[in-house]
Amino acid sequence: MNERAVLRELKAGDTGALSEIIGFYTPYLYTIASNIMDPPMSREDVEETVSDTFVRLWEHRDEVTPGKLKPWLAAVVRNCAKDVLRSHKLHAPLDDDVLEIAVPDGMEESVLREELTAIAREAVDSLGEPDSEIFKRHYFLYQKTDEIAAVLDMNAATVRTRLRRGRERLREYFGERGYSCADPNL
Amino acid sequence: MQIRISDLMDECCPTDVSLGADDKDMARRVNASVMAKIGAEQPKPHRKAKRTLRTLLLVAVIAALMGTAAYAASGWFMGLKKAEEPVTGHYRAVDKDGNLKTDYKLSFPDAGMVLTFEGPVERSNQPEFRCFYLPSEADFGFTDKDGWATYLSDQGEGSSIPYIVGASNVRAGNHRRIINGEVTTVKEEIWGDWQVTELTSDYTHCTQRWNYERANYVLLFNSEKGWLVMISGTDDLDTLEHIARELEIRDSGEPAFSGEDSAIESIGILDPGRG
Repeated sequence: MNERAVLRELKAGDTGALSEIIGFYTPYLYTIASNIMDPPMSREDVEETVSDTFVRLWEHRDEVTPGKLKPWLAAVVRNCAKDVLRSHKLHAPLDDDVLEIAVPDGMEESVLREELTAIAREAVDSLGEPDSEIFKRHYFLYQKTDEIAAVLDMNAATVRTRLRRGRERLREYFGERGYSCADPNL
Repeated sequence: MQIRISDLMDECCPTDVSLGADDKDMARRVNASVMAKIGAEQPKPHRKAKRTLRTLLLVAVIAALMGTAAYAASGWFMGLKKAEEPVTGHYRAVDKDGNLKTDYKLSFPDAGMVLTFEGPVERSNQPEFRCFYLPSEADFGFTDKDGWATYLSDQGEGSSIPYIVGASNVRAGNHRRIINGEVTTVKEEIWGDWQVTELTSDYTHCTQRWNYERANYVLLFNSEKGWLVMISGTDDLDTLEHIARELEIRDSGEPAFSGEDSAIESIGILDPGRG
């Protein structure tokens, strides 16, 4: 798929371009949504979430720039899937996902989240490979440790060790930037 | 406060990672669901760039309003400018040795719009088209057995020329095209590789006598090929646009028309029946 050309046509209102993107990215987005939602949600719920992601792409087609389509879609499908779970008072099924963080009083939540997201990206990028990829596969794509181990030809225990190392690095980065942080799992 | 690491990972997409096996049935279901949600009909399979460019299949477009100077694209540039005063110039042609053999003055006191073109000296092959919609039967044109044409029209009677469809290569340099009358730009859009400009021209105040009071134009300009396909006539713009949307346009494989290659300067008239 020529992303630049297809985005140009998408922005021109060409639903054929949207269909081409759907054909290309449905398996990818379905896998992410499924990692997040299934179980407890059904396969039909997952497909519906993937559909909603492409509808958002159509509605926001002017905002997507060439080279950024894949991460844009992935971020949106994650949020759509988590919204579905939240509407059922559920959370994505990841172990060791929670941090206790001390937040300055009166700080606006959106500002806080933006800042923490930037720090997290910096921390993950600093891990080097393969730790960075392992961390992203687990916390962005919601892959389980044994699945990551199989794909990267590693022992599952090694994957867990490297994830733990990543969480330590994250905690350090937050601490160095004024956000006192505790990981209940460390 | 408690925060989830996964919620902070939105900017950490591992872009090199591929996931999921191809599943055409699922993609079809998702596609149908999406098209229903956005209120679109199921589009035909998306066509990749091919030798044949078919505006018929280029589904509707944004009203990406473009200034006339925004036509800069890959190879060719078309400029549209209102004529502020009578357009004057020359028709000049040279012989094979480059000696000037023809030179006469031209003056167009009723010119309302001037089209200029910039681009390479070399021209693409001649474009040709097939019409999948015509509001009335064509009574003049050059069509082969499969319906491919470079010119097709219903010349009408009396004070109307319902439509003319013509495909040509533009020429860079000192080769202008004009439209007479009070010309108004009605719409500017992008249809895939085509820049589309719809114009209407009112001849009421022209100094010369015209058989009709108004003519309309749909200009399809391909900046990569340097092709101009024009649908003009006294039919309304909706009808002319309908013709345009259902054109199939392709490279004829024939070199650009060479009959005017000796001209080094020219001004052509685009008005229906006046060219």
